[in-house]
Amino acid sequence: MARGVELRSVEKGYVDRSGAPQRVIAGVSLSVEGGGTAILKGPSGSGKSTLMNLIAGLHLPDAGEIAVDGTVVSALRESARDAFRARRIGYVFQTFNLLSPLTALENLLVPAALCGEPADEKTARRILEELGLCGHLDKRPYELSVGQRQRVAVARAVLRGPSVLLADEPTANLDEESSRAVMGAMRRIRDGGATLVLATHDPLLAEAFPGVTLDVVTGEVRR
Amino acid sequence: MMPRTRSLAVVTVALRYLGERAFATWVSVLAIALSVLLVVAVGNINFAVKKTAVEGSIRYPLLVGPEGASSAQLVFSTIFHADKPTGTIPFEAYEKLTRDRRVIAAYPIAMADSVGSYPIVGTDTGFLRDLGVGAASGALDIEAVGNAVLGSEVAARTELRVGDTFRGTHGMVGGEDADEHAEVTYRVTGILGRTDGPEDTAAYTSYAAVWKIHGEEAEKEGGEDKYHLGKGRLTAVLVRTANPVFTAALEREATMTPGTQGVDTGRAIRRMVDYLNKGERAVELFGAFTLAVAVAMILVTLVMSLNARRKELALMRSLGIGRFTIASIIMVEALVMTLSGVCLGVLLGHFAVWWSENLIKDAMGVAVEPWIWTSMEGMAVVTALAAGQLLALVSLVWTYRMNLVEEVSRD
Repeated sequence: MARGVELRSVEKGYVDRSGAPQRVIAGVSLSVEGGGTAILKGPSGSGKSTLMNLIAGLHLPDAGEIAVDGTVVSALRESARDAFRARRIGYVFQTFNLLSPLTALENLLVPAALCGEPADEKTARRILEELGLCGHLDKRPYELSVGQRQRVAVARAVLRGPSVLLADEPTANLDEESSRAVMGAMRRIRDGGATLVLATHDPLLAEAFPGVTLDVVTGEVRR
Repeated sequence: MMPRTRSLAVVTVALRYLGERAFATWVSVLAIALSVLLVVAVGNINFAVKKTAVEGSIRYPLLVGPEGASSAQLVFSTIFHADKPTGTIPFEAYEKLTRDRRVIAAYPIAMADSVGSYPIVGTDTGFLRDLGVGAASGALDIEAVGNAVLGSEVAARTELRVGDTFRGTHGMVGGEDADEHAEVTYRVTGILGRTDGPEDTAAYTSYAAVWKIHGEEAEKEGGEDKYHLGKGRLTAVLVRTANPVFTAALEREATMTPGTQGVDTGRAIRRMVDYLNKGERAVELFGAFTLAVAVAMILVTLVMSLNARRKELALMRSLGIGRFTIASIIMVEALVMTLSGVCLGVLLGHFAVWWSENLIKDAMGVAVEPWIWTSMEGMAVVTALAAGQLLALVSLVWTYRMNLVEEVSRD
């Protein structure tokens, strides 16, 4: 598969405080082509975020392989994974999405510069304005509403046209307007050929992005 | 302006985080600054004291004063005019020295009164000429009784000019029994050029005038006391000899003469400098201790702030920002705090010396040079910067080793 995300028999666990091994991801396989969507389902603590971190290359699997756009992420060195993540992966969390001392615009541009790959300021402004943040570009996170903050996070995630957009409950706690804006941005990036990986409990969000559904607990894949 | 390069972005983010916790940052910076300030100020003042003392000992290697007083007291009183005279010696001691072939120059010193907070020193015109600075205005004329030449600081601060008159205060500066001579008026005949030494903060008259004023009062009050220099008495004699061998011989002879003692000013000042050096070491130790406290404070501030922003640092990792880059941000924060503290400390230290220049001159008769760089200051700056580097390195390693990925994976 040239573009998309592929998980092959991925396993991941951890050792709890008592020293007992705990399996979080047990032999998950999944294949989503570029432009497609994968919905990760499961209760809180079931391993959705861990799976996303595995795709992002933040964690390494205990077994199995993860490939993004044909690159086996899990085989890369840490610095190469960081660079790959900076270039190819957009990540949106439910909360804690922004760097508190930076303005909305800076939250798009400064991280890019910190990765050594400066982004175009005009593009950043345009994306923020498209997400209805015109007039909020110079505001810091504490001056923005929850919805506005989430839109800034989405803007940052799509800024450099990632191959994969990982979104962890991106519309939770958002008002309708913000939800629409966030979903619109995600749809645009997916329609541009990116793979969308969504972790959500929200049936409306899942309906809005039809695609492959993975039950993280059972490992069952439904198309 | 948006940072375009990684290093600029690191500095921008570090400064923003420091700004976000401005109070803690300022407290840390001030703590460093205070430790540096202390060492800078003490170093500067000590440097000036040593310089003045050494210059004084070079000019007059021998001092003859009353027996019983410590050599330090005699030096402070006669060279710095910063202590009360401890007794008197007969004028014959001075006359004998002027006749001695081993002596190049000898000057009588008779201290008793003050003008405002400045001492009036009875001497002769030769002493004033020997200073080599000449008169800034008027003439160095103190021959006639009542004539006075003012040091440059005295003139500036009392606003007395040539031709003006003033009344001397009976007794030495700050003396409990100081009172104004009702009937003695001095006339300013000249203003001494600036010496940057104790002469700037003294007024000079003839020793004969001191005798006249005090002799008359002593007669009225029934005898000589420590403030009533009777006729034929001096508080000390400053002596320049032809060579150190003569200095040693004359010192011994003066000490063997009943009622007088000789003081090798070079030796006395070396002893004083030794004391000052010990004081410097104590200040350096104290400075090092306060610096260590300040550095520990910065470390605690950094660790607390690291824990408070674990989520944000984890977010950076999820955005593809490398561990080293994140650690660099924390390192820059530590460096900015210590560098700012050092710079502020150096500035405040010099400013403090500049601000207290007159106080120091009045209290110690020493002209400080507020903006010079002393070796003690250099050592303080190097130590503080080294501590800052160490702190930055610790922060770098600490942050680099933090497991931020665990933070990202929390559901």
